[in-house]
Amino acid sequence: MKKRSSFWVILAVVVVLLVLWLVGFYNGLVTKTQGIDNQWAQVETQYQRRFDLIPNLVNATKGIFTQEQKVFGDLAEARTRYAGATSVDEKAQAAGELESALGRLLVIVENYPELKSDQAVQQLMDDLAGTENRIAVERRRFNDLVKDYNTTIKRIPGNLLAPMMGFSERNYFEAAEGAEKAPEVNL
Amino acid sequence: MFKRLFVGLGFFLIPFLFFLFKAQALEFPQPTGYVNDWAQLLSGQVKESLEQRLSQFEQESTVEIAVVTITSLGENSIEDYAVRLFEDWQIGKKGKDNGVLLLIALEERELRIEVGYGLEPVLTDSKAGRIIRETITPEFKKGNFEKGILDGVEEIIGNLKGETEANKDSLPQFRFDSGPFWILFVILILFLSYSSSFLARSKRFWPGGVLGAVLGLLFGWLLFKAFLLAFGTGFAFGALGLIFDWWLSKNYKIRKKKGLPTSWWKSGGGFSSGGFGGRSSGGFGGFGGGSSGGGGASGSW
Repeated sequence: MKKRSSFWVILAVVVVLLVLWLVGFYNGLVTKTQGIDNQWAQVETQYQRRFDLIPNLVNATKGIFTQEQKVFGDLAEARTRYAGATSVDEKAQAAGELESALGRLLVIVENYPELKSDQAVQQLMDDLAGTENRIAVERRRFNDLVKDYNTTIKRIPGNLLAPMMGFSERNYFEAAEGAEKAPEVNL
Repeated sequence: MFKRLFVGLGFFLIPFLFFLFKAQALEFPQPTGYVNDWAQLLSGQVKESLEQRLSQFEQESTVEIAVVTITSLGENSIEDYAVRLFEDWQIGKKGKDNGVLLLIALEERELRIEVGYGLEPVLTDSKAGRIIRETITPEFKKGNFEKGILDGVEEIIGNLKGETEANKDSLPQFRFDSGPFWILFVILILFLSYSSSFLARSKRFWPGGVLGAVLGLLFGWLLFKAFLLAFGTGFAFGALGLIFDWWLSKNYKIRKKKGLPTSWWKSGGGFSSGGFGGRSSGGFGGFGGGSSGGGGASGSW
């Protein structure tokens, strides 16, 4: 009799622990997806910040650049597209275009010494550089979280359990084409 | 009674050993104070007084300002280095995110003021940029690193001073990070004490291994939230449990033969736990858990 009872005790312990572990695993995935969504919101906050900054920047510099109207056209267009974007992918793409247009504008400003030393423009440049850096930071964190989550899902036992629990892979944020390249400037 | 405690401790310190290993794999050295002058730009005296100034400012405003000088950034951009260092050290108070990092890279002749989330509205990017352009870099260009750093820090403090007093008495943060964990801990120690006596009396040696492995898996999971590490602890616990049970069972038999008492802690006897080295760094207790998101400004001289 003694033998049997010890077997059942161990079995019960194993079952209880297994259930606890499954609950923990599920909750862990929920926490991770929430973290990713929250981080994406952070990225969008910074996009919005950049979005709001553009009119100031354009107003401060537009009168001086008479030859670079194309940049302002591109900026305005990308900004409109960003405002109209609804899905995450659309937003990401519009943000990428905005990024390359801004990059070109920054290079232009660098090439105008009298503009560079202007107090107001300097401040705007600080704000813009800060915003771009914030976007880079939040995006990196977003990708780190997605990577962590995807790794969990793709490895054993995640690859078996996650589909049953209704979790699927998340997309990384990839910088839009051209955003990584140094912008070309024709003066 | 003490031995009983030690046996329990010995078991439960194992996962912490994993923690220690994890902590050692970080790429940044630990801060030794508010001022970490790795590039040795400051004389001992100046460093001392700056350290005092920053510690005093922390006491009156809770804002944590770190000054770090490095010889080289290596492959990283200064923005990247700053934000990662900030992440690692967690400058600023938890929940308030009121930290500032002044980072100076000597070889690249670059510097950055990285501002914690909580101070972004006060020390804006343009203010940080102005401090760098108008206060710090002119001195750096002349080679006056000490004056540049001291003036820069004073100006950062001046910018923060008026604004931070208002939120000094903000509500305390709710924190229950470790609560449930410790309760679980106690329960498991009790459970282990009980099961050990059971294991000692059973003359087989393998149930201890199974029990150890299962406990280890669970614990590893709870602690690390990573499957591989959970497996590691499971394996370690399993092996330990096996040895433990084997020992207990053997001792039990011997003691039984000799007619000695067989209550479990006596048959266990002689387990000792390793020391648990705390980090001490006279006076400076580390930063408070703040975070930043790339706010601030960079410059070069």
